[in-house]
Amino acid sequence: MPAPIEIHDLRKRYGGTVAVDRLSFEVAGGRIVGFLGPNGAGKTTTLRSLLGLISPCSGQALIEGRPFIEAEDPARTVGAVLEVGAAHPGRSGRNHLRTLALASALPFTRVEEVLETVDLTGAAGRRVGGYSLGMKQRLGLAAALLGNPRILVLDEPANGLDPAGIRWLRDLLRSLADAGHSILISSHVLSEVAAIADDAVVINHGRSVVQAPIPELTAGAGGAMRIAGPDAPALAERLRSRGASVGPAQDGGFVVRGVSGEEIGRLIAEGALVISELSPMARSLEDVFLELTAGGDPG
Amino acid sequence: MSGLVRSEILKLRTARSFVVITSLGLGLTLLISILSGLLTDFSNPGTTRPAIDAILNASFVLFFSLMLGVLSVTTEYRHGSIAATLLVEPDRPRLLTAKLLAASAVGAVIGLVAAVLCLAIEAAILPTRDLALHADAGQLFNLIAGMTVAGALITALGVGVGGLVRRQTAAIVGVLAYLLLIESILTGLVLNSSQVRFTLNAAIAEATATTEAAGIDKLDDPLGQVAGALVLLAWALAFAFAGVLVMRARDITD
Repeated sequence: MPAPIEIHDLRKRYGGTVAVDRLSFEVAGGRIVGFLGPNGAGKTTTLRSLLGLISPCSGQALIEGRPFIEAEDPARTVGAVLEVGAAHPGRSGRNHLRTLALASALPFTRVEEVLETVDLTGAAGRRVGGYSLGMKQRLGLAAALLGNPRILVLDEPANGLDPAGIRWLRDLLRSLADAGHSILISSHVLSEVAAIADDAVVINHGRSVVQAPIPELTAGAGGAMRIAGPDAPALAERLRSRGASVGPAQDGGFVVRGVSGEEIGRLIAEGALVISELSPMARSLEDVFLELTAGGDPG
Repeated sequence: MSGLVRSEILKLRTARSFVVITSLGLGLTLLISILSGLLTDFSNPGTTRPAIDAILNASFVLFFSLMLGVLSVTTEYRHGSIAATLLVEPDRPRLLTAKLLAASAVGAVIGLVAAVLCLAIEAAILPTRDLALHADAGQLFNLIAGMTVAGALITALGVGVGGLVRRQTAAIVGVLAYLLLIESILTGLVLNSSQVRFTLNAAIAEATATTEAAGIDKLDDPLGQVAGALVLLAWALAFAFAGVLVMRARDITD
């Protein structure tokens, strides 16, 4: 059975500029995947290629094993938010959704349901041109959810949402993923991606840099461990004598590399040392991102 | 396909530009019709010329129908809603076909309404000048049917133009400039009388059975109403086909 989303050797060139260069990654079922890269890394081009809006020069972008334009029931297959406020400003939010519902053979009752889901029922009769950024984003999310699709592709879905809206979005996406939906989410807000996503795909200059579960990316810091406590200096000495690399930590204690946590624990027990902290050091997703995409702005 | 066509009709109905253009087009057409009924000198009142003049006045609304067709596509690009539309119908030829059908239906209704209203106005005004339409039921049917068909086809042509040229202003200015200026220049300088019959202006006049009043240069031997409508259909299909080809190849980047 094909993966919900597969990108194989994707390449797109605009004139002399290579936007995406032999990019490959997959999104598995029931996973939330953060799609990260600096500005101009090729994220939007990739997402639009996946949705059949852009024709790649070579390679494939597949939804459930085939190009999206061949999907039998597009609205029930993929929902997407690509741009805030991509609706006719003179049309009401409700009528915008109704045009999409009619095209997808969905009943108007489904429009009312998604309006309720995104908390936009009260403003549904107003013209989209008068909506705030957050309301436009909610309308876009309502459109994406209209067909209760198996796959969601979201480009900066938290744009314009207030903190309560961001939390609502996070809970919504988690519940959808838990129900088996697959979600590819591109965001500038790395802390949000870290909080919401299971995996991350990092690209730079159109190429894949890494694809891994987020805990794997942020954990370890090269296998470093942090130790602290009254006998931490003594432990540090013993570790040095065993060839471990030991240096001071920024907020007190020591950072130890080249020795496992189990070995450190054994040394503590042998020396009857008093240690208040022994923990693997984790990096933030932002640290990982900046390290992987050195030279570019987070995007 | 029916859901997709209904979706496109709902888009047209719920866009303010549709209401504005339709109202403006019908309003100006009716105004012209009233002035024509009051002021035109029918030197030979025994002919069907008053009825043909009424339809010639009604055909003014076709410019607005053409614009509606163009806008039904270009508005989607202008406001970025084309991406949302293609997410629910990624098959672009199918989408453009739905737009063609929806716009044609709307264009036919506008053509029909304009024809009926203009004939009704003339029929009401002419007796005050001791004149009459002098058209029997068959002639009136042909005139109304011609405007209805021309309304549908010219709006479909607009959809094709919109598929071809995504920028709204360029598409509208371009097609109106062709109709009102470039084709006249071509007719005067390049085309002979048999070629003129296949121009867009001549096809509209022939399809609406108004060639004797339209005053198109060199149109000495018109094709007739049905053949004229077929020429207009060919124009609409040619632009629709070109629009589909361009739309299929176009990247949606914003």
